[in-house]
Amino acid sequence: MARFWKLILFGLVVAVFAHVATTMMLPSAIMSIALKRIAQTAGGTNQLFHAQRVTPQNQTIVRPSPDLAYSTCALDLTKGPVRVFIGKGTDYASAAFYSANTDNVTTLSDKKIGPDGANLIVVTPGQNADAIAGERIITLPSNKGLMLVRRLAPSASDFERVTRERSGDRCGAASALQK
Amino acid sequence: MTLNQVDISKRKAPVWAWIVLGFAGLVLGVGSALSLSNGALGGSKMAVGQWSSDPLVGAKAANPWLRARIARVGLLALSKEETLYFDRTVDEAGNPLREECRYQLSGQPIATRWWSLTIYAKDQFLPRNTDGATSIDATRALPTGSTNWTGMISAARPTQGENWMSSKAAGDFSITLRLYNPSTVAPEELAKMDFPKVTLVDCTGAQTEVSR
Repeated sequence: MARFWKLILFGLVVAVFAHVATTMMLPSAIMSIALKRIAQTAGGTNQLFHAQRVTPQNQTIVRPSPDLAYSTCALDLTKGPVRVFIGKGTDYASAAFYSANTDNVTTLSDKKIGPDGANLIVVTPGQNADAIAGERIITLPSNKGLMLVRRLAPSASDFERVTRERSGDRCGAASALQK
Repeated sequence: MTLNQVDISKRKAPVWAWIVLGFAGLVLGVGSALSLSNGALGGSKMAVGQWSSDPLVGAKAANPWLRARIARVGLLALSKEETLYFDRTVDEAGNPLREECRYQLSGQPIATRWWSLTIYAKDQFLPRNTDGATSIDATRALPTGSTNWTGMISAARPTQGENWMSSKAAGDFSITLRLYNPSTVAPEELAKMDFPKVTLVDCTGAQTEVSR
Protein backbone atom coordinates (compact mmCIF):
# COMPACT_ATOMS: atom_id res chain seq x y z
CA MET A 1 0.00 0.00 0.00
CA ALA A 2 2.86 2.38 0.83
CA ARG A 3 4.25 1.67 -2.62
CA PHE A 4 0.96 2.89 -4.16
CA TRP A 5 1.00 6.16 -2.23
CA LYS A 6 4.65 6.75 -3.09
CA LEU A 7 3.76 6.51 -6.77
CA ILE A 8 0.80 8.87 -6.37
CA LEU A 9 2.94 11.34 -4.44
CA PHE A 10 5.60 11.17 -7.12
CA GLY A 11 2.99 11.91 -9.81
CA LEU A 12 1.65 14.86 -7.85
CA VAL A 13 5.12 16.32 -7.26
CA VAL A 14 5.86 16.08 -10.98
CA ALA A 15 2.47 17.71 -11.74
CA VAL A 16 3.10 20.63 -9.38
CA PHE A 17 6.62 21.14 -10.71
CA ALA A 18 5.41 21.00 -14.33
CA HIS A 19 2.54 23.38 -13.58
CA VAL A 20 4.72 26.00 -11.91
CA ALA A 21 7.52 25.68 -14.49
CA THR A 22 5.08 26.01 -17.40
CA THR A 23 3.34 28.98 -15.82
CA MET A 24 6.63 30.76 -15.11
CA MET A 25 8.11 30.11 -18.55
CA LEU A 26 5.02 30.73 -20.65
CA PRO A 27 5.19 34.56 -20.85
CA SER A 28 8.88 34.60 -21.78
CA ALA A 29 8.37 31.81 -24.32
CA ILE A 30 5.44 33.58 -25.96
CA MET A 31 7.29 36.91 -25.91
CA SER A 32 10.36 35.27 -27.43
CA ILE A 33 8.28 33.94 -30.32
CA ALA A 34 6.56 37.31 -30.77
CA LEU A 35 9.89 39.16 -30.76
CA LYS A 36 11.34 36.77 -33.31
CA ARG A 37 8.37 37.26 -35.64
CA ILE A 38 8.41 41.03 -35.21
CA ALA A 39 12.15 41.19 -35.88
CA GLN A 40 11.79 39.02 -38.97
CA THR A 41 9.02 41.24 -40.30
CA ALA A 42 11.08 44.38 -39.66
CA GLY A 43 14.24 42.94 -41.18
CA GLY A 44 16.05 42.55 -37.87
CA THR A 45 16.15 43.75 -34.28
CA ASN A 46 16.30 47.45 -33.44
CA GLN A 47 14.41 48.21 -36.64
CA LEU A 48 11.17 50.17 -36.64
CA PHE A 49 8.31 48.57 -38.54
CA HIS A 50 5.06 50.34 -39.34
CA ALA A 51 2.28 47.77 -39.62
CA GLN A 52 -0.57 48.05 -42.09
CA ARG A 53 -4.13 48.55 -40.85
CA VAL A 54 -5.09 45.48 -38.85
CA THR A 55 -7.57 43.21 -40.60
CA PRO A 56 -8.72 39.65 -39.92
CA GLN A 57 -6.47 38.60 -42.79
CA ASN A 58 -3.18 40.13 -41.59
CA GLN A 59 -3.46 39.90 -37.77
CA THR A 60 -0.48 38.22 -36.10
CA ILE A 61 -0.92 38.91 -32.36
CA VAL A 62 -3.98 38.06 -30.26
CA ARG A 63 -6.61 40.73 -29.64
CA PRO A 64 -5.35 43.46 -31.96
CA SER A 65 -7.30 46.70 -32.17
CA PRO A 66 -8.28 47.56 -35.76
CA ASP A 67 -8.64 51.20 -34.69
CA LEU A 68 -4.96 51.66 -33.92
CA ALA A 69 -1.93 52.02 -36.17
CA TYR A 70 0.84 49.90 -34.66
CA SER A 71 4.57 50.37 -35.03
CA THR A 72 7.02 47.93 -33.48
CA CYS A 73 10.71 47.70 -32.71
CA ALA A 74 12.09 44.42 -31.33
CA LEU A 75 14.76 45.63 -28.94
CA ASP A 76 18.11 43.89 -28.55
CA LEU A 77 20.36 45.68 -26.09
CA THR A 78 23.11 43.06 -25.95
CA LYS A 79 25.41 45.22 -28.09
CA GLY A 80 24.48 48.54 -26.52
CA PRO A 81 21.68 51.07 -26.02
CA VAL A 82 19.01 51.79 -28.58
CA ARG A 83 17.98 55.29 -29.60
CA VAL A 84 14.32 56.11 -30.33
CA PHE A 85 12.46 59.12 -31.72
CA ILE A 86 8.66 59.40 -31.58
CA GLY A 87 7.04 62.30 -33.38
CA LYS A 88 4.07 64.27 -32.08
CA GLY A 89 0.75 63.35 -33.69
CA THR A 90 -2.59 65.13 -33.81
CA ASP A 91 -4.40 62.44 -31.82
CA TYR A 92 -3.74 59.75 -29.22
CA ALA A 93 -0.36 58.05 -29.40
CA SER A 94 1.76 56.08 -26.98
CA ALA A 95 5.06 54.24 -26.98
CA ALA A 96 4.99 51.25 -24.63
CA PHE A 97 8.12 49.37 -23.61
CA TYR A 98 7.92 45.70 -22.64
CA SER A 99 10.56 43.50 -21.09
CA ALA A 100 11.26 39.91 -22.16
CA ASN A 101 8.78 38.56 -19.60
CA THR A 102 5.95 40.77 -21.06
CA ASP A 103 6.00 43.37 -18.25
CA ASN A 104 4.92 46.81 -19.43
CA VAL A 105 8.01 48.60 -18.06
CA THR A 106 6.87 52.08 -18.99
CA THR A 107 4.61 53.90 -21.42
CA LEU A 108 5.26 57.29 -22.93
CA SER A 109 1.87 58.84 -23.65
CA ASP A 110 1.47 61.59 -26.23
CA LYS A 111 0.68 63.97 -23.39
CA LYS A 112 4.37 63.71 -22.52
CA ILE A 113 5.53 64.16 -26.08
CA GLY A 114 6.36 67.75 -26.89
CA PRO A 115 5.61 69.46 -30.19
CA ASP A 116 9.06 68.49 -31.46
CA GLY A 117 8.60 64.83 -30.54
CA ALA A 118 10.37 62.71 -27.92
CA ASN A 119 13.96 61.50 -27.97
CA LEU A 120 14.61 58.38 -25.91
CA ILE A 121 17.51 56.08 -25.22
CA VAL A 122 16.80 52.51 -24.10
CA VAL A 123 19.35 50.81 -21.87
CA THR A 124 19.76 47.90 -19.47
CA PRO A 125 20.65 48.66 -15.81
CA GLY A 126 24.34 47.97 -16.43
CA GLN A 127 24.74 50.10 -19.53
CA ASN A 128 26.07 53.62 -19.75
CA ALA A 129 23.19 55.63 -21.21
CA ASP A 130 25.40 58.43 -22.49
CA ALA A 131 22.22 60.40 -23.07
CA ILE A 132 22.24 63.55 -25.12
CA ALA A 133 20.64 66.68 -23.67
CA GLY A 134 16.85 66.37 -23.73
CA GLU A 135 16.95 62.61 -24.20
CA ARG A 136 14.88 60.51 -21.81
CA ILE A 137 16.35 57.28 -20.47
CA ILE A 138 14.23 54.11 -20.56
CA THR A 139 15.71 51.24 -18.53
CA LEU A 140 14.68 47.71 -19.49
CA PRO A 141 15.37 44.96 -16.92
CA SER A 142 16.29 42.55 -19.74
CA ASN A 143 18.50 42.59 -22.84
CA LYS A 144 15.54 41.81 -25.06
CA GLY A 145 12.25 43.65 -25.20
CA LEU A 146 9.80 45.44 -27.37
CA MET A 147 8.69 48.96 -28.15
CA LEU A 148 5.10 49.11 -29.35
CA VAL A 149 3.79 52.43 -30.63
CA ARG A 150 0.03 52.91 -30.87
CA ARG A 151 -1.52 55.77 -32.80
CA LEU A 152 -5.26 56.29 -32.98
CA ALA A 153 -6.50 55.68 -36.54
CA PRO A 154 -10.11 54.48 -36.60
CA SER A 155 -10.73 55.33 -40.27
CA ALA A 156 -8.84 54.97 -43.53
CA SER A 157 -8.27 58.73 -43.70
CA ASP A 158 -6.98 58.73 -40.11
CA PHE A 159 -4.61 55.93 -41.03
CA GLU A 160 -3.27 57.93 -43.98
CA ARG A 161 -2.64 60.88 -41.67
CA VAL A 162 -0.89 58.68 -39.14
CA THR A 163 1.24 57.17 -41.89
CA ARG A 164 2.58 60.66 -42.58
CA GLU A 165 2.97 61.51 -38.90
CA ARG A 166 4.96 58.41 -38.04
CA SER A 167 7.23 58.55 -41.07
CA GLY A 168 9.79 60.45 -38.99
CA ASP A 169 9.84 57.96 -36.11
CA ARG A 170 13.15 56.18 -35.54
CA CYS A 171 14.51 53.16 -33.64
CA GLY A 172 18.06 51.92 -33.97
CA ALA A 173 21.33 51.09 -32.28
CA ALA A 174 22.58 54.19 -30.43
CA SER A 175 26.00 53.77 -32.02
CA ALA A 176 24.48 54.06 -35.49
CA LEU A 177 21.60 56.43 -34.86
CA GLN A 178 22.51 59.81 -33.47
CA LYS A 179 19.91 62.20 -32.19
CA MET B 1 0.34 -17.36 1.42
CA THR B 2 1.48 -15.14 4.27
CA LEU B 3 5.06 -15.39 3.04
CA ASN B 4 4.02 -14.27 -0.48
CA GLN B 5 2.21 -11.22 0.88
CA VAL B 6 5.29 -10.16 2.80
CA ASP B 7 7.41 -10.54 -0.31
CA ILE B 8 5.03 -8.43 -2.42
CA SER B 9 4.84 -5.61 0.11
CA LYS B 10 8.62 -5.34 0.19
CA ARG B 11 8.98 -5.40 -3.57
CA LYS B 12 9.80 -2.05 -5.22
CA ALA B 13 7.39 -0.54 -7.74
CA PRO B 14 8.34 -1.48 -11.30
CA VAL B 15 10.11 1.15 -13.37
CA TRP B 16 7.22 1.38 -15.83
CA ALA B 17 4.90 2.46 -12.98
CA TRP B 18 7.20 5.38 -12.12
CA ILE B 19 7.40 6.36 -15.78
CA VAL B 20 3.62 6.21 -16.22
CA LEU B 21 2.92 8.25 -13.08
CA GLY B 22 5.67 10.73 -13.95
CA PHE B 23 4.26 11.18 -17.44
CA ALA B 24 0.73 11.53 -16.07
CA GLY B 25 1.95 14.19 -13.63
CA LEU B 26 3.75 16.00 -16.44
CA VAL B 27 0.62 16.03 -18.61
CA LEU B 28 -1.53 17.13 -15.66
CA GLY B 29 0.88 19.92 -14.68
CA VAL B 30 1.44 21.32 -18.18
CA GLY B 31 -2.22 20.87 -19.11
CA SER B 32 -3.52 22.64 -16.02
CA ALA B 33 -1.08 25.53 -16.57
CA LEU B 34 -2.15 25.93 -20.20
CA SER B 35 -5.81 25.63 -19.28
CA LEU B 36 -5.62 28.23 -16.50
CA SER B 37 -3.59 30.60 -18.66
CA ASN B 38 -6.21 30.37 -21.40
CA GLY B 39 -8.83 31.93 -19.17
CA ALA B 40 -10.26 28.87 -17.46
CA LEU B 41 -9.55 30.47 -14.12
CA GLY B 42 -11.60 33.58 -14.81
CA GLY B 43 -10.60 35.57 -11.78
CA SER B 44 -11.81 39.00 -12.85
CA LYS B 45 -11.60 41.46 -10.00
CA MET B 46 -13.70 44.31 -11.33
CA ALA B 47 -17.15 44.18 -12.95
CA VAL B 48 -19.39 46.82 -14.50
CA GLY B 49 -22.63 45.11 -15.47
CA GLN B 50 -21.62 42.14 -17.60
CA TRP B 51 -18.25 43.72 -18.39
CA SER B 52 -15.31 42.50 -16.38
CA SER B 53 -11.69 43.53 -16.07
CA ASP B 54 -8.68 42.46 -14.11
CA PRO B 55 -7.02 45.60 -12.75
CA LEU B 56 -3.70 43.79 -12.60
CA VAL B 57 -3.52 43.54 -16.38
CA GLY B 58 -0.39 45.33 -17.51
CA ALA B 59 0.86 45.70 -13.95
CA LYS B 60 4.41 44.69 -13.13
CA ALA B 61 3.19 43.12 -9.89
CA ALA B 62 0.89 40.70 -11.73
CA ASN B 63 1.34 37.20 -10.32
CA PRO B 64 2.82 34.44 -12.54
CA TRP B 65 -0.60 32.91 -13.28
CA LEU B 66 -2.12 36.23 -14.34
CA ARG B 67 1.00 37.11 -16.33
CA ALA B 68 0.76 33.76 -18.13
CA ARG B 69 -2.92 34.36 -18.84
CA ILE B 70 -2.25 37.84 -20.19
CA ALA B 71 0.55 36.50 -22.38
CA ARG B 72 -1.90 34.07 -23.97
CA VAL B 73 -5.07 36.15 -24.24
CA GLY B 74 -3.89 39.76 -24.07
CA LEU B 75 -0.22 40.01 -24.90
CA LEU B 76 1.26 43.52 -24.80
CA ALA B 77 -1.52 45.08 -22.76
CA LEU B 78 -1.02 48.57 -21.35
CA SER B 79 -1.16 49.52 -17.69
CA LYS B 80 -4.56 50.56 -16.32
CA GLU B 81 -3.54 54.22 -16.07
CA GLU B 82 -3.07 54.23 -19.83
CA THR B 83 -5.83 51.84 -20.87
CA LEU B 84 -8.54 49.83 -19.17
CA TYR B 85 -9.65 46.63 -20.89
CA PHE B 86 -13.11 45.25 -20.19
CA ASP B 87 -14.31 41.99 -21.71
CA ARG B 88 -17.62 40.22 -21.93
CA THR B 89 -18.72 36.88 -23.33
CA VAL B 90 -22.40 37.13 -22.43
CA ASP B 91 -25.39 39.32 -23.28
CA GLU B 92 -27.37 41.38 -20.76
CA ALA B 93 -29.26 38.25 -19.68
CA GLY B 94 -26.04 36.36 -19.04
CA ASN B 95 -26.29 34.05 -22.07
CA PRO B 96 -23.17 33.35 -24.18
CA LEU B 97 -22.64 35.56 -27.23
CA ARG B 98 -23.12 33.46 -30.37
CA GLU B 99 -22.62 33.95 -34.07
CA GLU B 100 -26.15 32.64 -34.77
CA CYS B 101 -27.74 35.50 -32.85
CA ARG B 102 -28.31 39.20 -33.43
CA TYR B 103 -27.61 41.66 -30.63
CA GLN B 104 -28.65 45.25 -30.15
CA LEU B 105 -25.91 47.58 -28.92
CA SER B 106 -26.64 50.78 -27.07
CA GLY B 107 -24.47 53.25 -25.25
CA GLN B 108 -23.72 56.72 -24.02
CA PRO B 109 -20.58 58.83 -23.76
CA ILE B 110 -17.97 57.35 -21.41
CA ALA B 111 -15.66 59.49 -19.30
CA THR B 112 -12.50 58.59 -21.16
CA ARG B 113 -10.37 60.16 -23.85
CA TRP B 114 -11.36 57.53 -26.39
CA TRP B 115 -13.12 54.16 -26.33
CA SER B 116 -13.64 51.29 -28.71
CA LEU B 117 -15.52 48.01 -28.91
CA THR B 118 -13.90 45.09 -30.73
CA ILE B 119 -15.25 41.63 -31.46
CA TYR B 120 -13.01 38.57 -31.05
CA ALA B 121 -13.58 34.92 -31.94
CA LYS B 122 -12.92 32.21 -29.39
CA ASP B 123 -9.27 31.93 -30.52
CA GLN B 124 -8.78 35.58 -29.40
CA PHE B 125 -8.30 36.83 -32.97
CA LEU B 126 -10.63 39.04 -35.01
CA PRO B 127 -13.32 36.88 -36.70
CA ARG B 128 -11.94 35.77 -40.04
CA ASN B 129 -14.39 37.41 -42.41
CA THR B 130 -14.12 40.14 -45.02
CA ASP B 131 -16.98 42.35 -43.80
CA GLY B 132 -14.64 45.08 -42.57
CA ALA B 133 -16.72 45.47 -39.41
CA THR B 134 -14.70 44.31 -36.43
CA SER B 135 -15.06 47.37 -34.21
CA ILE B 136 -17.05 50.44 -33.23
CA ASP B 137 -15.30 53.41 -31.68
CA ALA B 138 -16.22 56.68 -30.04
CA THR B 139 -15.41 58.81 -33.09
CA ARG B 140 -17.85 56.89 -35.31
CA ALA B 141 -20.54 56.01 -32.75
CA LEU B 142 -20.72 59.41 -31.14
CA PRO B 143 -20.10 62.25 -33.60
CA THR B 144 -19.74 65.63 -31.89
CA GLY B 145 -22.92 66.55 -30.08
CA SER B 146 -24.37 63.05 -29.85
CA THR B 147 -25.54 61.88 -26.46
CA ASN B 148 -26.28 58.22 -27.18
CA TRP B 149 -25.79 55.62 -29.85
CA THR B 150 -27.11 52.26 -31.00
CA GLY B 151 -25.61 49.50 -33.09
CA MET B 152 -25.89 45.86 -34.03
CA ILE B 153 -23.86 42.65 -33.84
CA SER B 154 -24.92 40.08 -36.42
CA ALA B 155 -23.47 37.72 -39.00
CA ALA B 156 -25.22 39.56 -41.84
CA ARG B 157 -25.01 43.29 -42.52
CA PRO B 158 -28.13 45.03 -41.17
CA THR B 159 -30.29 46.93 -43.64
CA GLN B 160 -29.83 50.18 -41.75
CA GLY B 161 -27.48 51.71 -39.23
CA GLU B 162 -23.72 52.17 -39.56
CA ASN B 163 -22.61 50.94 -36.15
CA TRP B 164 -22.26 47.27 -36.95
CA MET B 165 -19.86 44.54 -35.84
CA SER B 166 -19.91 41.37 -37.92
CA SER B 167 -20.04 38.08 -36.02
CA LYS B 168 -19.64 36.07 -39.22
CA ALA B 169 -17.18 33.20 -38.59
CA ALA B 170 -16.89 34.28 -34.94
CA GLY B 171 -18.55 31.23 -33.33
CA ASP B 172 -18.94 31.87 -29.61
CA PHE B 173 -17.36 35.29 -29.37
CA SER B 174 -16.29 37.96 -26.91
CA ILE B 175 -16.23 41.74 -27.00
CA THR B 176 -13.51 43.98 -25.59
CA LEU B 177 -14.14 47.54 -24.46
CA ARG B 178 -10.99 49.66 -24.41
CA LEU B 179 -10.92 52.88 -22.43
CA TYR B 180 -7.88 55.00 -23.32
CA ASN B 181 -6.80 57.51 -20.67
CA PRO B 182 -9.91 56.92 -18.53
CA SER B 183 -10.98 59.73 -16.21
CA THR B 184 -10.72 57.31 -13.30
CA VAL B 185 -9.43 53.82 -12.58
CA ALA B 186 -11.18 53.54 -9.22
CA PRO B 187 -13.51 50.50 -9.31
CA GLU B 188 -16.26 52.28 -7.35
CA GLU B 189 -16.25 55.17 -9.85
CA LEU B 190 -16.11 52.87 -12.87
CA ALA B 191 -19.08 50.92 -11.51
CA LYS B 192 -21.20 54.08 -11.82
CA MET B 193 -20.43 54.50 -15.52
CA ASP B 194 -22.85 53.49 -18.28
CA PHE B 195 -20.94 50.98 -20.38
CA PRO B 196 -22.46 49.77 -23.67
CA LYS B 197 -25.29 47.26 -23.38
CA VAL B 198 -25.52 44.10 -25.49
CA THR B 199 -29.10 42.86 -25.73
CA LEU B 200 -30.22 39.72 -27.55
CA VAL B 201 -32.61 40.37 -30.44
CA ASP B 202 -33.09 36.89 -31.90
CA CYS B 203 -31.28 33.76 -33.01
CA THR B 204 -31.42 31.57 -36.11
CA GLY B 205 -30.24 28.09 -37.08
CA ALA B 206 -30.16 24.84 -35.17
CA GLN B 207 -29.80 26.50 -31.79
CA THR B 208 -32.75 28.85 -32.21
CA GLU B 209 -33.97 30.54 -29.08
CA VAL B 210 -37.14 32.44 -28.49
CA SER B 211 -36.69 36.13 -29.11
CA ARG B 212 -36.88 38.27 -26.05
